[in-house]
Amino acid sequence: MRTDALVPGAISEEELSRLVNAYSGILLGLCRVTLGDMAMAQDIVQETFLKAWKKGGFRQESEKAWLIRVAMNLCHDYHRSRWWKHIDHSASTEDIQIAEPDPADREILTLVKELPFRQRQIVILHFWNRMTLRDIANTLEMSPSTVFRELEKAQKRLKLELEEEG
Amino acid sequence: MKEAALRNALNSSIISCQPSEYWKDHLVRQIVKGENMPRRTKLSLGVVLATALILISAVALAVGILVNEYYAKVAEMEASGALGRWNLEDKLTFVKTMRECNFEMNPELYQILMDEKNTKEERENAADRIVDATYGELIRRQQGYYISEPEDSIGVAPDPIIVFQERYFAEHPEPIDDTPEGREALLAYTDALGYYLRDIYNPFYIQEQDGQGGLPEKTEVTEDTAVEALRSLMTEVLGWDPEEVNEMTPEIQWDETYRMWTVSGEVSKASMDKVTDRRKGIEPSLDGPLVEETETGYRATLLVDERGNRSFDTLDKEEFQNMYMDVTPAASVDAQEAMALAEQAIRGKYSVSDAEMKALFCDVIPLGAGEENGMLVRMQFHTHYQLNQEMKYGAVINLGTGQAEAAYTYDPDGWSAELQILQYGAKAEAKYGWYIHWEPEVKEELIRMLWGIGMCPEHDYRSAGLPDEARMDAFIAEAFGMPGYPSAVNEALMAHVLLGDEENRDLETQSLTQYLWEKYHIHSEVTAGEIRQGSSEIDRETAARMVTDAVCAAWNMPGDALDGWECTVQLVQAPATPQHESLVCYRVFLTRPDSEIGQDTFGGCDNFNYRILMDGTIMDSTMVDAWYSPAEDAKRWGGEQ
Repeated sequence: MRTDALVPGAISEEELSRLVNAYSGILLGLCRVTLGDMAMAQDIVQETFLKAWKKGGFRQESEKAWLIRVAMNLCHDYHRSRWWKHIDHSASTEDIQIAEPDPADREILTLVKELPFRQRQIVILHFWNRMTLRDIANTLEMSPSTVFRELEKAQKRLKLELEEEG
Repeated sequence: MKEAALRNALNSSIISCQPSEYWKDHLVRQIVKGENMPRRTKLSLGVVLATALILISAVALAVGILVNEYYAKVAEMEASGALGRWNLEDKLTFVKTMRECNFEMNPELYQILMDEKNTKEERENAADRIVDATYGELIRRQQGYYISEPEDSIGVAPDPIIVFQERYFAEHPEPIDDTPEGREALLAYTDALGYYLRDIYNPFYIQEQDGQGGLPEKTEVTEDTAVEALRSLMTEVLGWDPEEVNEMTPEIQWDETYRMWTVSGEVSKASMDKVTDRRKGIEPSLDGPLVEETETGYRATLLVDERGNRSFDTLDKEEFQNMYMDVTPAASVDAQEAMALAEQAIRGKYSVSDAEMKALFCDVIPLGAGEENGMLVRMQFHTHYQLNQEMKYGAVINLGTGQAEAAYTYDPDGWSAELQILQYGAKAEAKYGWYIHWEPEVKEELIRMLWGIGMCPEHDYRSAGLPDEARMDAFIAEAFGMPGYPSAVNEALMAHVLLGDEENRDLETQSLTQYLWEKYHIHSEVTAGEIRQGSSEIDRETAARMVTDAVCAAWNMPGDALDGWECTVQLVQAPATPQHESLVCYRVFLTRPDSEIGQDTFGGCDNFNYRILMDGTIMDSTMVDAWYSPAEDAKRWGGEQ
C-alpha cells in the first residue's frame, strides 16, 4: 500500500502498526549507529513514529525517506541538545535483539563512530542509504557544498578507497 | 578501506537491531492511546537541580497556594528519615500532604488507604499506587528502568528532587529551550531551588565537590562515647553477657598529652556461664592486653582517641597515636562553622554588604589529603547555584585549627598584576590557540602589560622602532615559550615565570592560579608534551605537498599546476626564538620556472613562501611577484639549508 499521499492525522492504527513493523528495526539500527546509544535510539524511533502519527503526510517523499529524514534530524537535535550529556545512556535492551557484528565490521564501525557527528551522518546516508549529496543536503538541511566538504573530510579520515565505477 | 566493506559494515550493523513484538506493540499503543511517551530524564545532579525550576511559579499554579508547605513537609520527611523508612504511617503523611495540595488522585484508592478496617497490606498498596501515579515514572527512570509495567508497585519513596522534577516536567512537557534566554531562565530556576534548599538547610546549603573522600569530620568523643565504645567491645567483639556489661560501672580517664580516653570495665566470672561461645573458657593471654583476668572476674580496657578511633590491638598510647593521628588529623570546626569563618575573613578583607553575601552560594572543596593539607578546604562563594558559575570570593580555612588561612576575590581587578597577566594569557590562548595565531594587537597588548610589571626579556624588542610581529613573537617566546614545541605559550610555564615555584606561592595566589587553570583548561608542560607526543610530525615531502595543494586550491587550479615549479623545503629553527628553539617549522619556497615567467597564472605571482608547523598547520604565507631564485629566497628569509 502506498502511503505517500497521507494527510495529517489520517494514519490509522493499522497503518501505524504496519509502519512500525516495517521500519522500526531499520530506524533503531540507523539511530544506534549514528548516536552510538541504544537508549537514545529507542527514544528517537518513538518520536519519529509519533511525528508520523501526529502529522501524517510524507510530502513528496516515500515513507521510508520521510522516516529516515525525521529520525536523522531528531538524532541531530538530540546530539546538540544540552540534555544529551546529562541523560542516562543506559538502556534496557531486553526487547531489542542486537546481532553481534563480525570483528572486521566492528573495526570499521569504530572508525565511523570516531567521525565527527555530522560527518558520521553523511557517511551513513551516502554509503549505506546510497543517497546523493543533494538528497543528503536536503535531508540534513545543509548546503550541498558543505555536505561535499564534510564527506571528503570523512573519506580522508576513513582512508576510504572509492570503488571504480563500472 | 574499501567502499564495499564500509557499506557492508554499516548495513549489517543497521539491520542488526530487531525489536520484539512486545516493544513494537507497546510503541503503537503508546502513540495511539496517547499514553505518555517516556523521556529519558536521568540527569546529573546539576541538571536535576536545574529542573527544580518549578519551585515557585509553576508549582503554585499546579497545586495551589500550599506548595511551599508541601515542599517543606517533603523536605522535613526526608530529613527525619521518613522517606527512607517509607512505612504505612509515612505513606499516609505523604499522601495526605499531596491531597492537601490538590494533587489529583484516585478517590477509591484514597478511600482504601484511609479506611482503618482494611489490612495494612491493602492500605500500603493503595498508598503506593497513589504515589506511583504521580512519581512512579520518574522514580523508575531514575533507577535505570526504561519500560515499566503499570501494575508495578513504586516500592520506594520519592525524594525532594523527584518531587521538584515531577512538577517541572508536568509544567514543561516541551523540549528545553536551548537559547540564551532559555538558559538564563533555567539558571534562574536553579537559583530559586538553591535558595529554597539553602533556607531549609539553614544557614547554607553545602555542596561538597569531587571524590577526595569528603571533608574531615569534626569529632567530639565524650566520656559517654568512650564508654559506649567499651560496651560495644565487650558485647560485640568479646561476646560477653550484655546484661552484665550494661550494669557494670566503667572506669574512665582522659589523657591530655595523648588526647585519648582510657576506659575499662569488669564483669564477673559467673557471668561467663551465660555465654555459649569460647568466652566460657576465656584465656586472657589469647585476647591480648585488652583483657585481663582479675580475682573477681574479667576486665577489658580500651583506648579511644579524640577522633573516635579505638585500639583493638594495643594499650600503648604512643603506638596507638602513631597508628591514627598522622593519617587523619582531627577537625576542630565543621563545614558550617568553616563557612562562617570564611565569610568573616572575606568581609574583613573586602567590603561586602550583608545583602551581597546573602545572595551568594557556597561550595566547600577539600584542598588535599594527609597531615599537611588534609585539613585545608577552599570555600567558594558564587552567584549561581550551579557550580563554578560566576565566582565572587574564596577563602581557605584550616579545619584543624579553625583559622582562616586566606581570603581572596575572583574579581580580576582585585588581582595582582601577575595574576592578571596570567588570566590575559589564558584568555588569549583559549581564543586564538598558540600565540603565533594571536592577532598582532593582542600580542602587543600582552607585551605592554609585561613591560608594565618590569618583565623585560633580553630580546631587542624595541630596538628597531616599531616592533614587527616577528619581534613580538620572539619577546613572548623568550618570556613564556614552551621548549620543544613551536610557537606555543605554556601557560603553566607562564605561571611559573610570573608566580614562581608553586610551593612558594601563598594560598591566595595558589587558589587563584588553580582557578585559572581550571577555568581556561590551561595545559601543563606535561600535557602539552603528551599532545606533542600524540601528534605525528610531517616530513618534508608532506610539507611540500600540503603547500602545493593549498596554493592550487586557493587559485582554483588543477592539482598538478605547480608540477613545473621549483619547490624548496627547509627546516627552520626560526630566528625569532633562538633561545628556546621553539619556532621550529618548514619553510616551503615555490618558484616559477623560467619558461613560465610572465604568465598570469597564480595571479602573476612568481614566488610563494610558506611556513608550515611540524604538525601540518600552515602558519602564514608571503607571495612575491618579483622573481627570486630559491637560493636568494632562502637567504632573504634567513633559513638554514
